[in-house]
Order: sequence, then structure tokens, then C-alpha cells
Amino acid sequence: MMASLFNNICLLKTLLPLLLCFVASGMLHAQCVPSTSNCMAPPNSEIVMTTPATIDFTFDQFSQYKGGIAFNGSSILKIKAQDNPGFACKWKLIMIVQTMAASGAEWETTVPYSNISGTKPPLDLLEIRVSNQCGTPIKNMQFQHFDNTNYAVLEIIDDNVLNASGACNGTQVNSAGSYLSNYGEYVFNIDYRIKPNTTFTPGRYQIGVKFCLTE
Amino acid sequence: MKKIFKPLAVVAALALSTSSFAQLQDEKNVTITMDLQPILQLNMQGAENVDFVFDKISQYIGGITKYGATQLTVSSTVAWDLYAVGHSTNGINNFWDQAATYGGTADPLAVDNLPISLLELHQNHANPGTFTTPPTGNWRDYSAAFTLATGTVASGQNSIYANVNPYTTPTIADKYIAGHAGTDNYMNGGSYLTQTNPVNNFKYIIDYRIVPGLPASFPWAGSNVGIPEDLQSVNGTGSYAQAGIYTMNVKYVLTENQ
Repeated sequence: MMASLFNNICLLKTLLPLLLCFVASGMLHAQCVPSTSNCMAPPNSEIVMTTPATIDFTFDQFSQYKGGIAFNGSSILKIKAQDNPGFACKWKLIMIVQTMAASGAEWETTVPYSNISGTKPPLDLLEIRVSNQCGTPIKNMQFQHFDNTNYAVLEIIDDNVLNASGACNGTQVNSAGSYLSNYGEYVFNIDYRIKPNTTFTPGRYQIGVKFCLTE
Repeated sequence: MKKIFKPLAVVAALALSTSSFAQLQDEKNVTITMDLQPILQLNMQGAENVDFVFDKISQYIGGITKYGATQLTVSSTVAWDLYAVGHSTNGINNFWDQAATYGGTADPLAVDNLPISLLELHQNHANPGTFTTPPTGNWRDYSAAFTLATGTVASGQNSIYANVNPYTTPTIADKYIAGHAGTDNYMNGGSYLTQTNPVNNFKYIIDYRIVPGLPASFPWAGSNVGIPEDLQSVNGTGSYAQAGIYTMNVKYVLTENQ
């Protein structure tokens, strides 16, 4: 009896680190990790982005501070998704904000323009609007912003239910398909807007926005 | 049997964590950069030259006032201070430059070292800044009404801040139009264009006055702690201004709060 108990404890000691590794890796990439295997992996299913990977907002006029700067269609995401044989691919598309700032709630300062400490811009200063021809995004044509938390997520298309393509009626299409044959439902235009007003200390800041296609 | 079970369990765990098919996971990244450049804009309306010509006794006694000669408007994205500074090119003791002398041999009592502080300013409303550290001078701004030229003299009440180097900011004992010395005395960012704060915070109308008096010793000239700087106090009784043309420069400086 005692020997059996001892062996079970030894077994637990072996498996526990492995289990912890799986859990930890899942937590680190929780937002962009597939949970099923119904869709083919890249390059059969992927995001195609040909627009610039850097978007630069430069505020050097007072009217820009007050009125803001908007870049419409600065990012265009083209999606293609294929079923794995015998399965129905159901994908989701999300945006994740990332900052290197220590607080995790504000933009990273790359160059301060003033030696006077002041308020740093929070993550929710960036407004993002997603749209496409068929209005499939969850908040189509609506500006939204991230919470002031590193790795905060905004969903463009969720994967709660499988919605077939083709209707072009605002349904959140997330089935197999391609931008090559269905531009209206598989292409997403991303608009960016920032209205800083006069609250924040001058400087050069940056954040990252990750667009993640997964299932 | 138990020895076999352990590696099998590990293999089983690994097998559970993978799938028979590859999975969809793709991502693209966009970096957003934001360049917030500091903007300090000071607009000035009004004549760039303000001439005071004293050719009547009444003007010597009553002085000459130029109402609303300068209008200042501010737009700033950062906390700011605004001050006026008087200076001249001779660089000596903050005196006016003498461009020309009228008359022949000068009377020994006729002096040409006219202090910059004889120029008086008046701003249309009080300095609305945040004053965590209170200014120590007798007057924190130029909002006090000009005293009657024939009334009791208040030396320095409206005298302009003078400095040989106009970019030396006034101290806590000097006058500012808006904001003040020290990082905790300032005006918040904003603009007269948008009126997000009271519009008066971003717009100032400046009057100028010079009262020579008789004899022309400029009794209102003084420091900001009330020390007289008129010609008789500085040069002795009977001193007066030598007739001539004098010039000086008034510079309005908008600076980030510091």
C-alpha cells in the first residue's frame, strides 16, 4: 500500500512540471492560440496584410491636437481560411494591444521632449474602427478603444457560432472562404484616430496592435 | 508494469496536447507611433512701434497712455508662462538707448540714464495662473489700474520687468502676465481658439503708459518691491531727463512652464 502511494507521488512529480508548462504556455498566449484544429494552418489559412506595418501620428499643429488625426484604411486585412478535411473551419479575428511601458496602461515613451514630468497617454487614446463591405465586424464602422491594460483584446469576429459566408448581410462570417472570391466578407479595413487634446506631456510614443486570426 | 506506465503517461500527455491536424494561428502586427510635438504659439496684434511724443506740458504732467496697443493671444499644448520684458541694446543697468539728443550743452542735472522701468504696462485682467507657491513681489502681474498721474505715486506698481538678457525669466519676486516662476505656478494648455478654458486665460490686452512728470524724472518707475527708480531718487534731487529720442524694446515671451 505504502509502495503504491510512493509510486503515485513519483508519477505526480513527473507529470506536474509538464502540466504546469502546458498551463503556463496557454496563459502566455491565451488570446491568440487555437483551441480546435478544424482549419488548415498557414499558408492555407492566413491573414494577408500589404499595408504598412507602421503608422505614424505626428502632432505639430494646435488644430491637430484639438481635432485629432485620423488615418482611414491604413491597414487592410485580407483573410483566407480553409477547412481541414472532414471538419468545418470556424475562425475568429481579434486585435490585441501591446505596450512596453512599465505600467502596462500607457504608451511606451521612446523619446521624451520635455524634462518636465507629466501625464503619459493611456492605451485607450487610440481609437480603432473596423469595417468591410458586408458589415461583418462585431462593431462595424464604430470607433472603439482598448482598455488600459496590456494585451487588452477587441474582437472583430468571434467564433461563438459558425456563420457561413455569402449572404453579405452583416452576419459575422467566420467560415472557410477567401478574400480572392469574397472580398466583401473577408477583407477588413482598419481606421485609426487619435485626439490627444492638450493633456499629455510632449514626446514620441509607441504601442503595438496585433491582429490575430485563430480558431 | 509500473515502470512502463510512467513513460507511457508522459507520451499520452504529450499526445493530448497536440492534434492530428495543424491548427490555424496567424497574426500581423502594426506599430502605432505618436509624435506629440510641443506647440507654443503667441500671436501679437497691434503696432510694432509704439511712439510716445511729449511736446506739451500737459503730456509731461499727465503722461501719455496707449490703450489696447497690443493684443496677445496664446495657443499651447503644454503648461506655460507668459511674461513681458523690457531691455535695450546698451546693456547697461537697464537704461533706455539714447538715439539722439536735443539741444546744445547739457545741463549737469539733465541725465540720459532713463530706467527701463519707467514704462508702465496694464493688462486687461488679472493673472489667472495656478499659484501653489505665492509670488513674493508687491505685484504678481500688471493688472493694477494705472494710478492717477497727479495722485499718490506707487513706484513700480505697473513698471515693466527689465533685464539685460530678455530670456532670463522673471523670478518669483517679479511680474508675469500669466503663470509665474517655478514649476508649480503655471497656466494649463489650451487655446483662445477653442475656449476649453476661460477664453480670458489665453487673451490679453496690454495698455502702455509713460508719465515723465515735471521735472521729467518719471516718478512711477520702480522695482517690483516698491523701491523707487525715478531719476531724482537715483541721480539726486533736481535731476531730470535730457531731451532727446530714446528707444527700448519690449519682448513678450511665451515659455513652457519651468
